[in-house]
Amino acid sequence: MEGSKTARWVIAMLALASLTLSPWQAAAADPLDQELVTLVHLGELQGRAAEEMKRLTDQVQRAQSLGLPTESLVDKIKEGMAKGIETPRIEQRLILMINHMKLAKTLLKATGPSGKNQAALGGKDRALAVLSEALERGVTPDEVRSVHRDIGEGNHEVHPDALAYGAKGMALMKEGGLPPDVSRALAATALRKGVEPTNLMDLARELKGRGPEFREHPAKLRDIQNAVERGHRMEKIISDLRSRPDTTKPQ
Amino acid sequence: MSDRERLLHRFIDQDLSPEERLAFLETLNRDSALRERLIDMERMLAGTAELPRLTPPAEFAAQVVARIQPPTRGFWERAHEWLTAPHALQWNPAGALATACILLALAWLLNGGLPKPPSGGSALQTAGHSHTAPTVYVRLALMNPTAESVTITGDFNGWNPHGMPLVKTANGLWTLTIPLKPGRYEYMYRVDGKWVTDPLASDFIPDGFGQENAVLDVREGLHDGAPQEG
Amino acid sequence: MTRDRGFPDEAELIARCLHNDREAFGVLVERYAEPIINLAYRMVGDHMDAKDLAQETFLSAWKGLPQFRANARFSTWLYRIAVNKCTDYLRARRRTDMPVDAEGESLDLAELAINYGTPERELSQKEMGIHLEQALQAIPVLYREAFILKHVEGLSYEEMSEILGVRSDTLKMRVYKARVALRRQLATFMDSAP
Repeated sequence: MEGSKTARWVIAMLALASLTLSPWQAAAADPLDQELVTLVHLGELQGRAAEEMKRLTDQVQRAQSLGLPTESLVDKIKEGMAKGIETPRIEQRLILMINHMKLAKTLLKATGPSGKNQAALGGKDRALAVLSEALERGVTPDEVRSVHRDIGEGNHEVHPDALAYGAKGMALMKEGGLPPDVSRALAATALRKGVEPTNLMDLARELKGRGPEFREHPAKLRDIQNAVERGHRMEKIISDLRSRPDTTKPQ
Repeated sequence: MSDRERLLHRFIDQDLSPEERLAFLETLNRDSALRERLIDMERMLAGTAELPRLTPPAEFAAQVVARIQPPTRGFWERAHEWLTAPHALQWNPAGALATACILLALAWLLNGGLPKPPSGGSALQTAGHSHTAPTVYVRLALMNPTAESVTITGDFNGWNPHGMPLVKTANGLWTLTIPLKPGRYEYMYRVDGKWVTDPLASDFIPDGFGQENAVLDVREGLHDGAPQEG
Repeated sequence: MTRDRGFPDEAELIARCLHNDREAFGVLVERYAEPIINLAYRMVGDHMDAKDLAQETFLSAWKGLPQFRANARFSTWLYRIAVNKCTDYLRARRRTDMPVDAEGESLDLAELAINYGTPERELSQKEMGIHLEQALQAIPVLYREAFILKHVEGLSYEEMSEILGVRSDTLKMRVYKARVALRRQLATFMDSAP
């Protein structure tokens, strides 16, 4: 244990907990509100101005009122506080994240199946979180719409998860320097072929990490594309990739 | 549907009596359009062999079994599970308030941070229902022979700045194994107080503050207790 | 879908399931996962939905196992659950404007006017498979399910009758009409291709 700092933290927690846990308050308390109150007080312990902390929590509540998931926002506040980032900068980051989530929500709504279908299959938040991340990583709305068209081949409905993971897969590959159209085609083909999203993520990360290798040897990338198109097992494609040395790195 | 058309389909199904079959073959012999039609239809049906087939994911059976409702348990079993489940910010309104907050503070102390509330946005939760997700043990490692202290902090411990300490082994490898529920977690190491991105992570993402967090995707389907390399 | 007349130890697995043996059920799920997922996929055309529907099928099977008659075939019973789940789902989704329940009389017209494609446009088997996959989604559900069970799952009309609870004669007509409908869909692809 690290002594007085930690002890103060604990005491603050206990004090807050006992304050906020009086029966009449607890009965009405929303867990998110509780957490935000705690954060404001912790911020004050760190020497942050209460009004500035309030701006952060206002952003989270704004997101909540827009029907957006708030967990990642709260995590980001805690992260910023831990890393000693100035409060206004944390706020800027929150605003960006909320914008991406709003955009993701709009895109999912515009491209998704009918409301009944979505409710029945659940996990709306998951698709939103993943698509937001894809947008944060640099995929554009147009690219998202293209992914949607590619997966659905114009006349099939596309599950929101497939779109979200397709976009994220594309984002990861683009980060590795792979051309956008190739990234998109690979992600869409894989999902059309029934590849599990988690396996697509593994492939995308592998390809991202080997970006220079594929830029130098585009034929290798075509081999992967062909294997995906032919419906080869993703686990095999990935393990084959991993067993090959990366020729651009020192051996 | 015309009789001739029907015969064609029954022929395809090999559903004709020997006499009917013979008669149909004689007709085929005379009627080139009918022959063409038959070949065309057979060609189409042969295409069914080329229909792509899905492979069930490896964890499919496990996922189904996990969703089966367990048999109803007695009151004390359920109460015990409720008391010990990590529902960090759901306060018990009546009677056990103080116990709840002390338990939480202790849990927080032991884990080194604000407990993570039940996740609703995790990328890998199964769709639409609630069940107790299995814990996965994740092993983290960092090579640094000269460091004096290495801690890890991230989403899973509420970004507690003091973090969870890694243990140093003889050859300079720092390690820690943590139990995590399936989900996506961002984290960083602190090496002698300095924020460091885990070089061994499989994925990274800018933190929005000028550095990069490591990303950990914890998957369901691994057996409890089997370590997953992070 | 396996053509075997039921595995010898299937009865034992089912008996264990009835005693709440979840592991035994896991084995059954493993055995039938591939055919059920693929059946659902052919029916609804989306692999994510297919996976979910397959899961729902197995969960229903677990719950309904006490009602399963031991002298019936487990695969038939499982298929019936799967087909019902898919049909219900499609009905709720109402994706195509083709009615789910139509017997499609309109398809009898213009049969003879179908353009069967010139030799230059003969599709390779591979291309045929791809187009067939799309064409399946475009025909009425009743025809689709009959065609899938007959030509993809390779069941006999008797087996299909057991699964769907419909007379063989009716099913034969549905399969015939499915073939015609699919052929027309493919003609559209072939004609519109460059």
